[in-house]
Amino acid sequence: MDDDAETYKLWKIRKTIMQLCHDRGYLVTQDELDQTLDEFKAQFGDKPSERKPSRSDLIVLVAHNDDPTDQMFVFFPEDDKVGIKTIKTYCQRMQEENITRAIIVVQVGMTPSAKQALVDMAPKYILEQFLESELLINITEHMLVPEHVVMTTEEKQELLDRYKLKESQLPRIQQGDPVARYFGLKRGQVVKIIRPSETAGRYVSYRLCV
Amino acid sequence: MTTKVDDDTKKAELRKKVEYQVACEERAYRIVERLIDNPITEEMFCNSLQYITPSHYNDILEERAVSKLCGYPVCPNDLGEVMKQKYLISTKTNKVYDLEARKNFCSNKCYKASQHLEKQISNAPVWSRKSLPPIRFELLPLDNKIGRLGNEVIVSKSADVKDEIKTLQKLDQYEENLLKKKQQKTEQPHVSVGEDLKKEDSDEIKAKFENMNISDETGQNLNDEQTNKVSHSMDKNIMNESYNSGNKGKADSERGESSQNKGKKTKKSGKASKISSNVDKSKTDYLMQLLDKRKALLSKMVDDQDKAKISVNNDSNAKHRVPDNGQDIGKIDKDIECRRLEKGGHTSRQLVSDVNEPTGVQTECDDGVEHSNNLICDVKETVQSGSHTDSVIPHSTAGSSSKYPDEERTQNVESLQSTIRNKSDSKSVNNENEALIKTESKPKKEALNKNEVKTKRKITSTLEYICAGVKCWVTMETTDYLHENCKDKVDICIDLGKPEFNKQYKDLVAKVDAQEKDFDALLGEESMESDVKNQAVAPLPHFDVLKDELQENQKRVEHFMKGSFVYKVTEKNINLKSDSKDNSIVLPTVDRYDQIVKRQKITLEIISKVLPEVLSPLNLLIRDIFTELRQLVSTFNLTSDNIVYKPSEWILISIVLLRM
Repeated sequence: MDDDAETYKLWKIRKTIMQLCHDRGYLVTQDELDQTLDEFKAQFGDKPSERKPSRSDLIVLVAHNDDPTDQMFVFFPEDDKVGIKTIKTYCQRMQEENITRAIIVVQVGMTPSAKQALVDMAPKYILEQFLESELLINITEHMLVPEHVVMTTEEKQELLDRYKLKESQLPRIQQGDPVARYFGLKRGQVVKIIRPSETAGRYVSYRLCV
Repeated sequence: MTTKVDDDTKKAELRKKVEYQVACEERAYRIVERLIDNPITEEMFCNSLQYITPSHYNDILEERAVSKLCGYPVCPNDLGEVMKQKYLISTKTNKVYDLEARKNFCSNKCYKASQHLEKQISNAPVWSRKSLPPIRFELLPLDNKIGRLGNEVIVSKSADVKDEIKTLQKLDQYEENLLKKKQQKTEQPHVSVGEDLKKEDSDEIKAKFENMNISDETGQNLNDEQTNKVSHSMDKNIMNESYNSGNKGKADSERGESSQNKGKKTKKSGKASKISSNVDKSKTDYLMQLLDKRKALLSKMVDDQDKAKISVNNDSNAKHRVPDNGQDIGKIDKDIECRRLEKGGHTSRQLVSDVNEPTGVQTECDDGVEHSNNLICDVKETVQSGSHTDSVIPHSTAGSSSKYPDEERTQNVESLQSTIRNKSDSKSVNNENEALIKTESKPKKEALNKNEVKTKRKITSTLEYICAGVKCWVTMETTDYLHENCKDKVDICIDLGKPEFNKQYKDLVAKVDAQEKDFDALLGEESMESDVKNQAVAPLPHFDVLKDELQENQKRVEHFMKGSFVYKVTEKNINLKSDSKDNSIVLPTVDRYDQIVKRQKITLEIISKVLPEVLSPLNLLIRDIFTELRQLVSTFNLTSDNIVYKPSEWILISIVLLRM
């Protein structure tokens, strides 16, 4: 029963992660996106308590659609609480594989110093952290969450030119916003939000990540 | 140009500063990283602690715990098994501990040492410590046996309770000290009149209460002696008292009977009252007065009795005198009466200091005041020992009753019971007084009843309540019964061989009658009516009649004594019948379930329940006094509403009855 629940949880998390990677533009197969619980069990096992699957088995490495060299790791640390040491090992691995982006899915939390370590590595290595509980569902599928589309730098420039705007004149969205985190927005990126409207059919707004 | 240069330098300075700050933070971070890995020497540890804040230290603990090391950096142990629960309820210490922080350590010792260290780490920003002298860190040795389980979550109330208990104990001690002081003062009451004044502060509240009480008394005083014009307000009560005592002193000197002792006493009481009247009311002073008055009364009685030359009474006279002298000089006294007096004083003191028993004080005062009132009346009327018969007889009863089982009682009584005893003593004397008066004159009784009613209105204390209740019980029969007993004892005295007493007694009777009339006049009753009533009431029985009665009574007593062994087994009804046979006053009960019988039964049952408690310190068995008690109760006028009391009140009642 406990194993079942744990397996279900892991399956959901992994599914959300796959969707997340897909939404970010990384190459994820349709099979992986549509993976059912049974398929998940068949692939990884159904006894998490016996390390079948262990968290480290779930590690995902995805490549970007446009630039195959742009790869991203998704780490699932074994420990409840992630300390600097774990972060360091991940960093080493990223260095070895020459990967600059990673997502760490922690079970309970991170120590303050580990968070500090993430920030310290920021310019060179981009490490994002999610709690398992945050990934049990995909928030972007929620009915109250409008469609978000991350704009490329060209699209953003076109937008600013079209409306003769400066960057600062755009509405804003915080980097810590759940959706912004989901898309891994960096400071300066612009997101296009498309809402359904009764009067206009579609209402489009743009937000600059700060 | 210069300003530009200044700006540049300023900027550079600022940059330097910021860089330094960042560097410091960076160093702290490096230290944290370093301290996470295990081989740490104490020296290195202490050095690195200079450059971090408590929050950094907490990070270290957490990181170490995450990497399965004991949180305390100096401890080389692994973390091992970690408790899963969040809280721990220790049955040993009856406390609840929060284990969250403790979970980072391998042992309680490490936890305690770590906490000890954390307190020493400076809270100042890391970059501001350049100028500060390095802190000497003191590490707690790990071989220390005592550790800490965790932070207490639910702080137990035991600490609060302890504090409360402490304060209470302090209070108790204070009170005890006060009591001791007072007792010391009572031992030398005449010397310490001035000292007594110091107690005023502590007695203020009680004095207030006393004031109320005395106002009652003043009311009575006004009734009793209309000549008293001084007492109009509460504040003048003391004046009233001092006036009374002054009167007494005057009267004493008028009479020219006052011995040296008495003179001293009256003077002293006068002084005391003066002082007390000068200052706001002090209860102790008041009690002192009462004590003195009572003493004076006793000595007066002694004088009177001396005059009468009743040799038997002389015994008790001697007893009276000796204690008086003894008290004055401070010698040891062997006499019961004296002891009683002293105890009275003591207990009154105790009662003064005891807030819980103001009632006792009240009654004491009541009695004392009544006594003095009686006395003053007597003196005023210059009827020589008019109401002295009132007091002589009861006192002779008391005296002779010391030959009765009472003697042992009075001697064996413990202090507390002696308190109650003394109360009941004076009360019973009062009752006997009353009884006498009742038999002598109805108007007097009415007056008393009036007084009773008056006092009843203002009664707040249980004791008075009980007193009133018992008074309600008392019927003519009771008084007769008691009276006979009194006469009994008086007669016993006479039997010891003084025929003059006969004459004396006659005189006394006549004087009592006369005095009663005067008393009635004083009471404001219409003298004509009272005269008529007085005449209507039969005069006190002649001595011969008394003698006969005595014999009869003695027979009866003997009968009772005999009967007590027989009747114990027999049914109550039979007993009652036999009682009624013996004591023709009690009407034979027609029905076993007669209401009165039932009530008497109830009363007896309750009293017999309560009695063993009272009697046990007196070395008395219940059967010794049970027949008398039963007879006494059988004479009572019991009604449905005056036999309802609380258990503690019953105890008091039983004591009162015992004295009767």
